[in-house]
Amino acid sequence: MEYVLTVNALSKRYRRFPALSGLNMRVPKGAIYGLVGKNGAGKTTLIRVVCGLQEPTEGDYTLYGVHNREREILDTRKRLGAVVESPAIYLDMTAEENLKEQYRILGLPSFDQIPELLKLVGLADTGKKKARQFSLGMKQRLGIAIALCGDPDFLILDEPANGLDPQGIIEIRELILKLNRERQITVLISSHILDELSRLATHYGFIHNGHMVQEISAKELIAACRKSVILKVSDVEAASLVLIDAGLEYEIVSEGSGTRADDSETTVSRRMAAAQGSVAVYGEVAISELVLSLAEANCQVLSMENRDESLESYYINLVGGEHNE
Amino acid sequence: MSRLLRAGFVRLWKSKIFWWCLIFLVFMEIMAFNANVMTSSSVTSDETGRFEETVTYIKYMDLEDVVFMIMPYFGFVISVFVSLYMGTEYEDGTMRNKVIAGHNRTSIYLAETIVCTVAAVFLCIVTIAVSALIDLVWGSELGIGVWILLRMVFASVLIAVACSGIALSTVAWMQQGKSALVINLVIFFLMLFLGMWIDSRLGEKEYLHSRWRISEEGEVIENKTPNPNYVWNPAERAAMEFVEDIFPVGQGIQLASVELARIERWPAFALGVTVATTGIGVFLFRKKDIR
Repeated sequence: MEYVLTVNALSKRYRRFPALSGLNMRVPKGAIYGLVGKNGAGKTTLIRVVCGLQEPTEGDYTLYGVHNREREILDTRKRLGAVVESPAIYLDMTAEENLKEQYRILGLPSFDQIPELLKLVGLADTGKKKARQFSLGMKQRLGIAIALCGDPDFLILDEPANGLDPQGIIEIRELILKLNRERQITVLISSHILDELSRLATHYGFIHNGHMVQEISAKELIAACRKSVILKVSDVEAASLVLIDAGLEYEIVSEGSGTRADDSETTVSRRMAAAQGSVAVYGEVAISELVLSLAEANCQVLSMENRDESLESYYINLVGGEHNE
Repeated sequence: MSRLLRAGFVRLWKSKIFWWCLIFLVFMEIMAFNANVMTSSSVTSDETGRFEETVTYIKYMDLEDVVFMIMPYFGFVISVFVSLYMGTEYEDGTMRNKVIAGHNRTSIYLAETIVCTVAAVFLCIVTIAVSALIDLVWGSELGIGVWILLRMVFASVLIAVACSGIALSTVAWMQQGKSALVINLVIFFLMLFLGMWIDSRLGEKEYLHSRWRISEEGEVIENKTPNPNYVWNPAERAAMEFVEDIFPVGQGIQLASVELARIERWPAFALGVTVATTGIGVFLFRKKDIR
């Protein structure tokens, strides 16, 4: 898989406060990568470092394969567009003047594409209205338009839905999806509005206390969050055969008991421990029939639990435990 | 860097703070001119016995005395302009656009320096030109040679450039317009008060008063009372002159009172301050985390 951004053991320290601690991340090309984390987790710091606004204390990153310490990184950044925290716009200029200013900064020879860009972000009718008079949503869209000047391949949006009304959130979401689908722009989007992110992201990175806790694709996340019954069984192999016979979709979650048999245990009990495991059974399951079938195959059900997770509960389970605090 | 300069000059042209500063400076020059014309009036009565007042404006200062009168305060306007104009780049986050667009930090800082320097020079020259024009229209005359006047204009321009350099480095350090404005104004007033104090000390007469008496032999003997405020120590005097000259506001104070004894070394001092503050500014801007 080709990666637009690869972050290796990145650390950033503000005096004594570690904002990022050995963070690793990989953003695949063409993805909408959702960076999930609570306030102060390190999302904005990571984005600032990647955008070149701040230098990492330790570690490194590569953008389109170019290492951050190479001189070529400056040219590579031209392929990048970003809105970091608040939209970076001149408040005493109109939307068009703001875009022209960014075109000059980028050294683009013609302003021909500006009307199209304004139309794309829904600011074509703002005329001579100064950005100071814009609503928060309009400012956010203008910020995105500025980030899109020069046709970047990689767009970084830091909390783009912050402070927006529901209509504004929908507009920004539609715009991001459009950019990703129609222009094949890779998007890195940070947010703590998980529901909103779940409507967009193809990949997720869960960040907590400056660490990357987990990176997962949306497909994997959906599978992990899918409604299922987790059965802890005495014999995973036997359970698999029964589930195949019953035509049920399943997945072996873990094999072996995970407990170490000590020397006093018999060989039989060691074998039993090795055969134990957990199986996730998807779809509607007739529990009593399944338990009977398993019993007939000499497979005991040791425990059973229902799993029906949302992105939110998945995230809470992932970062909320003592381990990650 | 040419791209940054082009963008910077377009923004400068559209900047309200820039034009407000120019209007303020021209207004200050008009006020300086107004404060230095003396009005006289005469009352006459005609055949019918009606009294009529005739007002006559009489100029009593030379052109150079009025034109450079605001030079000590020029740094104030430059501090306000640079702090607000450049501070906006940090506060509105537009500085980020330049970094993300792939420009290196040294180029960004130097481009901003050039734009602010050109703005400061423009403000200085237009203010002097407008003031000179008003003075000439009202009949002021030049009390010095043209060559000396040109050197004074050149010194004024370099004062503006040095003030801009100082203010820019503060903005790069603070990364906030309002905080930078406070710091820059504190720096300006410190320079102003220090400059005024040094100027008054250096301007002290050697002796307070002299008395003459005729000796028994018929000789005239002068009895002088040394001024305790006069800086007698040559090293101390040289140090005070150096401090007054190194600060652009100190040069402005001397220009305002047309004290040109050390004008030869002012350009070197002003350029030195500009280069030093720009170097510090580049260093700070390269090291600082941009919010």
